[in-house]
Amino acid sequence: MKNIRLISVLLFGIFISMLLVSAETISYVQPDNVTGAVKDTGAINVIAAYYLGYRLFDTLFEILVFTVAVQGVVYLLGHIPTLEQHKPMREKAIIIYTDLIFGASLITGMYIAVAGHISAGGGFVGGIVGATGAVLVFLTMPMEDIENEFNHKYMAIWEAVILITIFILALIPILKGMSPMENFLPLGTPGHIISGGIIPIVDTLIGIKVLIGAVTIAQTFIKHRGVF
Amino acid sequence: MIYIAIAVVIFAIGGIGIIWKDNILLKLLSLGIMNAGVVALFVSIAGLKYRIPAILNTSGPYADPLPQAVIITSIVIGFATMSLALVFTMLISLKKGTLSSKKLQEDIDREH
Amino acid sequence: MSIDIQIYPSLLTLVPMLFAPLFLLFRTKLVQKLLASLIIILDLLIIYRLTLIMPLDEYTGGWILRGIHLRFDNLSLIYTLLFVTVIGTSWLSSFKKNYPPLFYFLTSILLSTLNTSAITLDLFNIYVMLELSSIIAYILIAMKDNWKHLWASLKYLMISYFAFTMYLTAVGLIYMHTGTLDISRITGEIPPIIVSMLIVPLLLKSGVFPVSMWLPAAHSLAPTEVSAILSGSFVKMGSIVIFRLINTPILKQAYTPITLIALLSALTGVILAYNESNVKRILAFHTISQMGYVLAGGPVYGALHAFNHGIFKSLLFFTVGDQVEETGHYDIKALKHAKFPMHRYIFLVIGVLGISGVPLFSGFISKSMIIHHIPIYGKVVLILASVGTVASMSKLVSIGYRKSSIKLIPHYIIMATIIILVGIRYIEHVISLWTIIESLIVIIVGITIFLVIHPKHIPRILEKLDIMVIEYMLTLITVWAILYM
Repeated sequence: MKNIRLISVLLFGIFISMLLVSAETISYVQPDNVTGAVKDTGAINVIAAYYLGYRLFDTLFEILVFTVAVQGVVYLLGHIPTLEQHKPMREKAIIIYTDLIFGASLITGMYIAVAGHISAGGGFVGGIVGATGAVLVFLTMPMEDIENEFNHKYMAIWEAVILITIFILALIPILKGMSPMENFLPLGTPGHIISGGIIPIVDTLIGIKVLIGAVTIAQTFIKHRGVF
Repeated sequence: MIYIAIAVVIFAIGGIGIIWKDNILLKLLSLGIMNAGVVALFVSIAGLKYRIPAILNTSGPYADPLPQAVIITSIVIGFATMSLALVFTMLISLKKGTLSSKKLQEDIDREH
Repeated sequence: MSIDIQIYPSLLTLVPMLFAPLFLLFRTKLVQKLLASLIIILDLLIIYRLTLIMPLDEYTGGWILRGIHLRFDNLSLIYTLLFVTVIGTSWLSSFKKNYPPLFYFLTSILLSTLNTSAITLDLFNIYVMLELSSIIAYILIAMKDNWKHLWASLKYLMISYFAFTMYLTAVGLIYMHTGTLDISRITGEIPPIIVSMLIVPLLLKSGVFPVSMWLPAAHSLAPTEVSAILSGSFVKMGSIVIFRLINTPILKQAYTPITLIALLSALTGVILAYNESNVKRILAFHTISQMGYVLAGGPVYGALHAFNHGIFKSLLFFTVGDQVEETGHYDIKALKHAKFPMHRYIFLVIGVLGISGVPLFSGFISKSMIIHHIPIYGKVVLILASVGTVASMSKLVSIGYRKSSIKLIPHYIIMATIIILVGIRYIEHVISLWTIIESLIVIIVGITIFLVIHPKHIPRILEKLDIMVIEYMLTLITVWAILYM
């Protein structure tokens, strides 16, 4: 068995050295990807202009990747029985601090998501920042409280509704005679919070969607496998 | 260029880890490292000429925004694949009590 | 919807995508049936409207040269029709069984990724499609709660994630070298190592021999409908991307290594299939062999064979899979005791006639075209592979049938009709004394081999994870070496 691995490492080494040797032949062309982006999309963050403007098609699939993973994890973990005893950390100090951090991270996350088109950030980052706080809170709450406050059924409905809203936003332009995924809202003044047409709306929706998805994964893991 | 070389080296470390390690968890960890190498590659391609991020309230010349925009998708895909892989690993280890890929392969062979 | 809405290629993917979450919201059987038929009807309508204005280019969001470049042409037409048919009939079959709503959610997203791969011209978009469809496949394979399924899926996950990470590296380097991700705008010469990093993951996806040994375990362990979807549509994704790359600087003079690998795959697939006793694994190995034909055929004849193969292979998986689920036996000896019921056996035979290339059935058309247009060394290999196909398919037919009441099963009938219609409609393009004699000789020799040579059990060394990595790396380096010379 060791010999087989040695051979594959050797082959991999040959491949990497070929790659490094032929690096000489790779030239570098930087295309001009910045000019005109603000005029086209109204977002002064050109990365967001690409992410949610020119390449919105990729981003739709990215949201789907995330959703598929969440659904798959929840379904597969359903095969193992839920834990009867789930021991949260009930120290007072931890409870107070996690609550504080939860509020702060939720607000920060939403800010990052909403302002994705005028500064660094975006929906995915914002959603994950918000979900981090929620995961901290899960460590301290009893399972019944978690299930009351973050009801799995409602979260699943919200997740699907947000997903459909994003796809409808991508499809509305064809009713107006434009091509799908075009930015059909007024672009506004670049640099203001209300600008960039559908970009801030989609960013916010993605933020909420990722928040819900990450919380669902964390909740299912804790439900079936416990905190420790 | 040095950054690209570093990215390729990270990629290579991940690849060797996948081949050499027997434990499934370590294999998955190596896959993560390999993906991190590619992310580093894209980011260094974006910053090959200029380094200022393309948020137009600063003054240019800016780094290339396109590789930065597309690599977010790859990070999310990495997250999704890794979470699924970890769930598979967890279910397998619950059922078989082992994480060694060699032992699992031997068990499969025995059943035929 | 009013009639004068402008039609865009991207609608093909946006429609299944839009309806997919509804499967999770409304979990009753009736609504799921309605949604599934709505998706299929809308997609077929869009394909019909697109054929009227073909070929059609689209940049997503209307941003010329900045958006993602999509194109609907003849190649996309063949492949999207195949994808919609296979997934539609699998849904038709799945309604009789107890599938969770998640299955419909995942397969409708799979339909939209497959459709996208048929129209996209953007290297990074292709990466997203490769990964998303694979993620869906991992879940579909592992849906049964059994460690064998989980291990098959995990093996597939590791090798394909390893491969697609390399694909992404190649995309990054091509972007650095040429400054664009659009296949139609790539100019200049691409270093061979990058080309092989880009091509070999696509070969892994399309299920050809040295790189795709994940396929037999995954396809044979999955439930019937999932096997049909995986074999009928999922593995075709790699081939269409490879066909897109022909005539671009990436694959300009470099189709030779792919042809060689394809020929190797066509032959090895049938040898492995002949020596196998698990019926679903026999079909899985045939997928490996037939994908070799597809890639050897090139963008015109190969695409036609991809369509035909998708149809008859899913018919075969439906019939054999239903039989396996009914009796609980995978082994060919055990199945000989149970035998097929009459109404299933007829359709099995139609599928076998299709895959063996008998005149009047669809396989004959595309196989004759491929064999006619390939260089002489390829002809010999492909005819040998056809002989092997007949021999190992005779094993399935030899299971035999028992009398039973006649049942009309709609998805069998749809697939069989397509096989016969294609076989009769296009026969004038290939019919000649030579092709008929050739196919008769192939059938006679194949049946003789089946009667004379007894299959041996081959240990499954090639399917171990460590060996799969070696196979992958060897193919990568071989492709590089051939390109470099």
